[in-house]
Parts: sequence; C-alpha cells; structure tokens
Amino acid sequence: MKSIWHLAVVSYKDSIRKRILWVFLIFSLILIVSAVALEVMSLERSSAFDKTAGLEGTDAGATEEKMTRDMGMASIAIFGVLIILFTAATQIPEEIEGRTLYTLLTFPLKRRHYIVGKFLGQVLVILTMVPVMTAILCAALLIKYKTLDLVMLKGVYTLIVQLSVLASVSVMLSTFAPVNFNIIFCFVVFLAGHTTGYISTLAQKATLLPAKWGLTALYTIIPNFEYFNLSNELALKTDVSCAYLFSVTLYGLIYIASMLTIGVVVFKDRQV
Amino acid sequence: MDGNVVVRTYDLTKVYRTFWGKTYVRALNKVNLEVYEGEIFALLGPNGSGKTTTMKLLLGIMFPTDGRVEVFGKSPRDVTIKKDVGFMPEESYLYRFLNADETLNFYGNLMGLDRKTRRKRIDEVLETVGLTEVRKRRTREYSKGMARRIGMAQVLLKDPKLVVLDEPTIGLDPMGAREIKDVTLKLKERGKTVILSSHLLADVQDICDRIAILHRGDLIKTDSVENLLTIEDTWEIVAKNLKDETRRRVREVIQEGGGDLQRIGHPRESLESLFLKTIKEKEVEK
Repeated sequence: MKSIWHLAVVSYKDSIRKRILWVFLIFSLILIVSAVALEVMSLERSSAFDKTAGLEGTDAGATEEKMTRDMGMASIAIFGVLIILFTAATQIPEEIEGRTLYTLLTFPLKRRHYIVGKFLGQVLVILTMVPVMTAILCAALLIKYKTLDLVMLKGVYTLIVQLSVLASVSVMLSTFAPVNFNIIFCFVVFLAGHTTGYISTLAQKATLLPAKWGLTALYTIIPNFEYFNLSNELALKTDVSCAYLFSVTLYGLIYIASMLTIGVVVFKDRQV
Repeated sequence: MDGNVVVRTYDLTKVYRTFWGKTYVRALNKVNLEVYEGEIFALLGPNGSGKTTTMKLLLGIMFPTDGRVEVFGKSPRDVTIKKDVGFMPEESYLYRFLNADETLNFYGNLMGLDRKTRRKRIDEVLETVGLTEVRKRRTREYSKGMARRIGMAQVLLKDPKLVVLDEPTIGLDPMGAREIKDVTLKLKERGKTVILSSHLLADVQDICDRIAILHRGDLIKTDSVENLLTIEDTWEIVAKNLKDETRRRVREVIQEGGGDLQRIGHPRESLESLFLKTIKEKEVEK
C-alpha cells in the first residue's frame, strides 16, 4: 500500500513541474484578477435593462460581486479541467511510450497499485492548483468587496470532487486509449456531464425503445456534473448543508471507484 | 553446465497479432533455454530476432502466447520475485522532471528500503556510477551516457540476484562501454546472474560465459563461449622473449610433425585496450 503513496508523490512531482500547468495557472490568475479589476456592470444603466436582466430593486454592487465571483469560479473550473486533461490523460501513455513503465513493472509493484497511485497523484495536483486559484480569487474578492461567501468555498470543494471524478475517467481511459482520444473524450464527458438533465428529459420523452434505453444508459454512465454545481446556491445565497456535501462526496467516490476498477481490470493484462 | 537454474523457458512462443486476431509476426517460436546461477548469459541475434521479446517475457511485462517462463521457479508475473530481478533497459527511460536523487529515492521506496538504508545505498550507487556531482540535476538534462548510468544505478540499488541488461553498451563510447562491462563482471563476482542482450559481439565475447543465438524467433545455438569459439584443429602458442633461432626451430618442428603453420608473428592487442590505455596515459599526464 505504501507503494501507492510513493507512486502518487512521484506522479505529482512529475506533473506539477510541467510548464504547461504553470501557463494554465498564470492565465487563470490573469482571468480571475481581470474579472475583479474590471467593472462588470456600469452603475449607470437604464431601468429597461434592469427589468430585462431581472435586476429591479437589486443592489448593483452585490450583483457585480456575484458576477465577478461566478466568473472567477468558472475560470477555476475551466483551467482545472485543462490541467486534468494535460496531466491525467498523458501520464500513463507517456510512461508506456517512453518505456518508463518497463523499469517500474520490474519492481515489487502490483499493477492495481500503479493505477491507484497514478490517480492519487492527479488528485494531489488538483489539491495544489485549485486552492491556489481559489486563494487568489478570495483575496481579490476580499480586497474589492470586503466580503467572502462560505458557500463559494463549498462550491470549490465540490469542484475538487468533480475534477477528481474527471481525473478517474482519464486515468481509466489511459490504460488503453491513446492520448488524443483521451483528451477529447474527457472534454466531451465534462461537457456532457453538465447536460445530463437534458439527457434524462430526452430519455423520458423518447418513444422508440432502443433510443430510450440508449439515452437512459448514457444518463447512467455519464457522471452528473450538475450535481456538483453550486452556482444556483451561490446566486440565491442559500446555504449548502453538510448532508449534501456528504452525498456529493459519496457519489464522487463511487464513480471514482468504478472508473479505477475498470482501469485496473484492463491494465492487469495489458502488455507493454 | 551445472548449477541452479535461475531462468527456464518451456517452448516459449510469442505471436503478435493484429487487432482482428491475424498473426502479424511470430517473434519467438518454441524457445527452450536455461540460465544458471552465477553466469553471464547473452542473447545474441540480429534486429528482430526476438531478444527483447524474450527479455520482456522473462520480466513479466509481456505474456507468452504459448509455453511458459519460470524465474526462480515462479511465474515472472509473481510480485514476490520482483525484488530479486533488476532490469536495465536499452534506453534508460526516466521521469524527466525528477533528478537522480528523487528517481533513486522513489525506486528505493518501492523496494521497501528504510530511510537510512535508502540514503546510504543511493550515495553508494551514485558514487559507483559517477553521478554524485549531478545528482540534483533533472534527468531530462542528462546525456545518453548519464541516463544509462542512472539505469545501472537503479539496478545496483536493488541489489537483485538476477540482472537483465538490454543492449547495455550500445551508444556508449569505449570508456563507457568498458565501465559497464567491468560492472557486469563485478556483479558476477558477487554471485549475481546476468542476462544480457546485444548485437555488439566483441563486447559479449569479452565477458559472457554462455550465449544463445536467436534468429527470427528460433533458437539456433546455445553453448559456452569457450566451446563455440574454440577452433578445434588449430593451436595457439604465445611466448615471450623468443629468439630468432628458437623461432626457426619451432617452425621446423611443426613442419616435421605434419602441421600446417599458419602464422608466426607478434600478437595484436585489441583496439579497445589500445584506446583505453592511450586515454588513461593522457589523463595521468594531465
């Protein structure tokens, strides 16, 4: 079991030192700071605009803060996904193609420990990058608006779980799929995961049985990333209960376990 | 040759197939060989003969289509034997963003070495392979020779009973090749069994006890270097301080005895030993 941790640490170090990660981080920080620094909405606006945008009677400052926070969170989410795509998707194929894996497999290391260790390494990358981006956003919000919403931090937590789920999909795919396919597929999974509500509706409304089954299967298989999305709660300033966070964590863990199990089964007999 | 058998193959066969299951290439065809404890055993053959496939099969990173391999009496996929098997690949494929220290520390952790033992062994092996001064440099900045030395270092760190070396001297200059050969001989002195593959025949001839020659997946020949290279009907006499008169008499005796004298002349040292001697002398001068 210790080998899992050692592999995770090496996987983390190998990923975190890649320049592309730091390029993404810098761009995300620029985006976050820009979102805070620039005026999102002008204070001078028409009442017609207020009516259209549903802002009648609202405090412009609070709305601006909300939109800035949403933009910041969206930046963290997008760059978090990009970081996962360029690390989790590339690690195992790089080690197979680069043949680092040859030496590794001659050590007392079970193949399933290798898969789990690789995944944990990516989780460590997420736990480094996301808090850094979050800290900058929080600092910027505190400086500008003198306020910090705890629900936002809960949203960051669910984002971390979401990115971990995506990392598990990527690690699973990398046991058999080439890098390009992995990156594109994971990106599609990320997008589709935010539209599972539509898939569910389509499945219910489908009249043809094969279509109904197919859409239902798709809805079941694709991770429901909307479940991790707290933007509505942030917008309405409603609190998120610990029970909800627990259920999100449990859903994430079950999905991750499923993906890693598939990866372990595939990799067990993979010839390199 | 007597001795414990460390590696044994039984009709070892490996067929690479296309995605649709059609035979693409038969890399190994019913190969039966044995490697004994404490010997240096070479797999020889041209490119595509099955040397690397054989190595991958006995390391357990590839699986046979038919037949089987036993390493220390067990399947190569058995994790318990991994600590007794060390492998230095042809190219030392390393984690590019780690330095030598971190790389060896990682491998030491996989071996389950405690911190104190790990640190001591890492210092020793880095000293042995001559990489102490560059231990903190990332391996992506290493030259080919340096990367190869890290590969050897992780083998030495493991201190395994069986060492597998894939083309250990390829791409190295004569001094680097000599170092690798010396380390290989030292491994044998320490009771290790070494299996190496090479198509640099002069390097193999220097150090190996037995060889197996592969060609297109078939085992053509296997025997000791001594038996294979000895020319039975020819004798070699090497003598120092031979006077001209003595040489004339030796020539006469051979001719009277019905022998066919091929050559009397000065022996030649190998180009390798001349090169190494010259470089060493120059370094001493400096």
